Amino acid sequence: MSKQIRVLLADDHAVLRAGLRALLNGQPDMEVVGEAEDGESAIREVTNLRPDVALLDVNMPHLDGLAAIPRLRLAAPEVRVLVLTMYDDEGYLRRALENGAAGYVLKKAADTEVMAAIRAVARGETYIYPSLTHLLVNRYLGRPEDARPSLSPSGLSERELAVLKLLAAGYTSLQVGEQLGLSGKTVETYKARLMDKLSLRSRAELVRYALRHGLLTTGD
Amino acid sequence: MSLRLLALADRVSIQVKIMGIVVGLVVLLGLGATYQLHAHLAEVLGRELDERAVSVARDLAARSSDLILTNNTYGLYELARDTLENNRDVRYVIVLGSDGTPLVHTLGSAISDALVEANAVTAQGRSHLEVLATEEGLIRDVAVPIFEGYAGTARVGLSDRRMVTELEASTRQLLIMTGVVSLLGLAFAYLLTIILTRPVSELVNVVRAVERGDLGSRVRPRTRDEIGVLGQAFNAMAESLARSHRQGEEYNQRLLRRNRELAALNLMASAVSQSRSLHDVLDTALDRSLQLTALAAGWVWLLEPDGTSLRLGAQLGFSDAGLPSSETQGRDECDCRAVIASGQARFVESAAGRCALLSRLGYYGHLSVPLVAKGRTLGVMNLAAATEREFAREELDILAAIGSQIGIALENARLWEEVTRKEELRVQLLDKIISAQEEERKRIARELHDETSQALTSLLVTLRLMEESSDQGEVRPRAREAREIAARTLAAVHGLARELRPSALDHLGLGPALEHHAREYATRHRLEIDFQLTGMEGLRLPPQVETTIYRVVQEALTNVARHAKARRVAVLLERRNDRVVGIVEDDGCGFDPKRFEMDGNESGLGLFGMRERAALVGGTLTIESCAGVGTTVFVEVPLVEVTVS
Repeated sequence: MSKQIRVLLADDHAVLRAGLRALLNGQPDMEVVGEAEDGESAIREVTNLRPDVALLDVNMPHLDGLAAIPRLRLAAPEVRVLVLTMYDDEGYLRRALENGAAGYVLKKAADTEVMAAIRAVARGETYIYPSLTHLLVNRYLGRPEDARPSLSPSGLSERELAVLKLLAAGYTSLQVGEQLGLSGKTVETYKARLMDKLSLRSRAELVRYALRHGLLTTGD
Repeated sequence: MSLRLLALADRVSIQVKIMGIVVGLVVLLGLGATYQLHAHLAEVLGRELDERAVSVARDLAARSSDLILTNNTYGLYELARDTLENNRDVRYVIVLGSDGTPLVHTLGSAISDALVEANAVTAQGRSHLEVLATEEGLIRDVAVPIFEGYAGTARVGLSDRRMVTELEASTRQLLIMTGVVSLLGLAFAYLLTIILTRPVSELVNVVRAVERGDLGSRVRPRTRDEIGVLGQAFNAMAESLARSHRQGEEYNQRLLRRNRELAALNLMASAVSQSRSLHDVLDTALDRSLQLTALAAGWVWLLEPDGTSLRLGAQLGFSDAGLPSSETQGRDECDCRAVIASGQARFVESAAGRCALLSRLGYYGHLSVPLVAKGRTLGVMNLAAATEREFAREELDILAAIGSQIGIALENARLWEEVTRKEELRVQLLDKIISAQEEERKRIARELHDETSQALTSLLVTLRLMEESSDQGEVRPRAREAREIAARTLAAVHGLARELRPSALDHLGLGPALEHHAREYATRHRLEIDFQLTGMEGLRLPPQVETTIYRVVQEALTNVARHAKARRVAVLLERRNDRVVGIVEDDGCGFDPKRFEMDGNESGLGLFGMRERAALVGGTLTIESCAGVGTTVFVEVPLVEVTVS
């Protein structure tokens, strides 16, 4: 029999911790070595106990889980961090991975996939909750519309280019008109024409086009 | 004394002075000449008398010597008498003997010794003249020796009476002459003074006329002397006086007019500031303008919010039949519209068919004054003129000022209306928010009660069943059932919590939270969504700003789903310098935001709420929409503090 996986539970809900502890301790290859109820105590416990895996909730008082990850990694680089959360937003997933988490699993799968996730990250793999993986794949492949061939802005007239830049900077047609000395209606006409020329279907595409061709400075 | 004389001279007229000078001169000259002549004649005649006395006495002496020597007394007497008779001036003849006794004399009875001794030949024996003062006047007594004194002495007394009489006569003549010449001189002087003083009195008359205010009086130039020059100078002075008087009059007029205008403006300003009723302001303005221009009738068109149709705001001086009404208001050919378009006052001649209304009423035309506020023309004030009429620059200026005042009043009325409407909307909004909040609570309570509680109850029951079950084969399916119930409940509660407040907004910030919402929204409503974040990397905004933009975008998306019939929606969040802009753009049916929000219906209230929400964090909401093109909602918020995590 292989070595037991030592697990630390960090969650502010005592009931959940108890349930998870019972569940994990019931597994032959796992052992819960400690618990923490907020970010700060999680860092403390991890530093003291040096578990193999830290199961970390995002929503905790004092220091939330996402913010705690970098400090945990700093205090104990060998500890694998597995984020257990309610949130299925791509943003959370990205932040967690960026901060150094080894895995991301949803609480609604607490009773099923947590064990597999703990085993995976303990093996040194990365575990991501299956329904979230498509988000990463999408990002990796890029957006479909961005793959379309984009026309060069040289086909635009000077006026159209000016209108494009200002629209991309988030100005209203009226504001663009004021800056260029045109009426709002005229700006609309220019906008329609240049979007047609560049085969752009929305303002968002227009902004991306401007970004790609260096026509937009974000004002930093 | 001399002072009094000078004062007297000051009092009398030039005429008297000149005549006095002339008469005085003549009299002085006459008297001088008379005195001189008198003195000279007296001397000459006296000397002649002397010589004649000596000559008579010598002649007497020569002729008497023989008679004395011959002792011819009678002859001597005859000689004496002859001498006396032949010379009218001889008063007496005395021949004295050598012893000094009178031989003969012509003095009648006796001769006084005093007379005999009164004169004598000189010691050298020469003749001697003695002037004797007697009762008959001065007597020139000459004593001549006869025969060198041996024969005696001849004496002759000559009276100067005749000489004196002649002297007096000629003096009198001279004096008479002087008098006559004086009179002549007086007459001449009178004429002279008339010539001299006539222009002066004329000048005086003109001066008095000018003094009385007749500035047109002028002196007729008659002479080229000093008085003529004075007259010309006076004319020039009167001319300049008249000119400055005219100018003063003009200034006065202008001042009066200005005063009238200012009074009118003042009245207007107080009417605008004191009266909240637009009606009062328009009536006052029209009334004042008509008074200022001395016209009888006028009316005011107000531009309706749609920017094309006109509404009658006020009218004065028209009979009921001729009242401008809605019948005339919409006519495009009326030149009032040109005035509204240009913002420049102008005169519209009805004759040219430019104003049907006035043409029908027989007016010549009307002056149209634009009512301007903040560079926008809000209406036009028309002053009708029955005949052709010129308007002075000042008049137009003051009317323009009145036009601006009305414009301000109109603008104020509009703002007042807007404030009132906003206040109404706010009350409605508050009402809606409160009831929405209550609705939301009700929904959550129901959700918790109906769904969560029910699920937990069934969980309880299932667990109880499991607890009581002794059959291992029965426990497993029940446990699976319980897990399924718990999973469903978890998902429902999770959804409920996120609906209430997306936790991503707190943990990850506006960008990720919006993106997540947009994607979920796209799935739920089967819309194509295009999300774009620009310049927002790692940017956290103040929580209330994030919440505001999130909620506004959320509501905009809800509106798109409800009303727009769109296929694609773009959601953008951009940072531009110190501002963050959230944009929701759809390709739906579009609408007229202005009209929509004014209606104050449910959705209009929603827009108003979004606008108010943006305003709370200093932001603005802009909606650009066009029927058939789609709608773009901009929520723009300035960044006061930026924290980068």
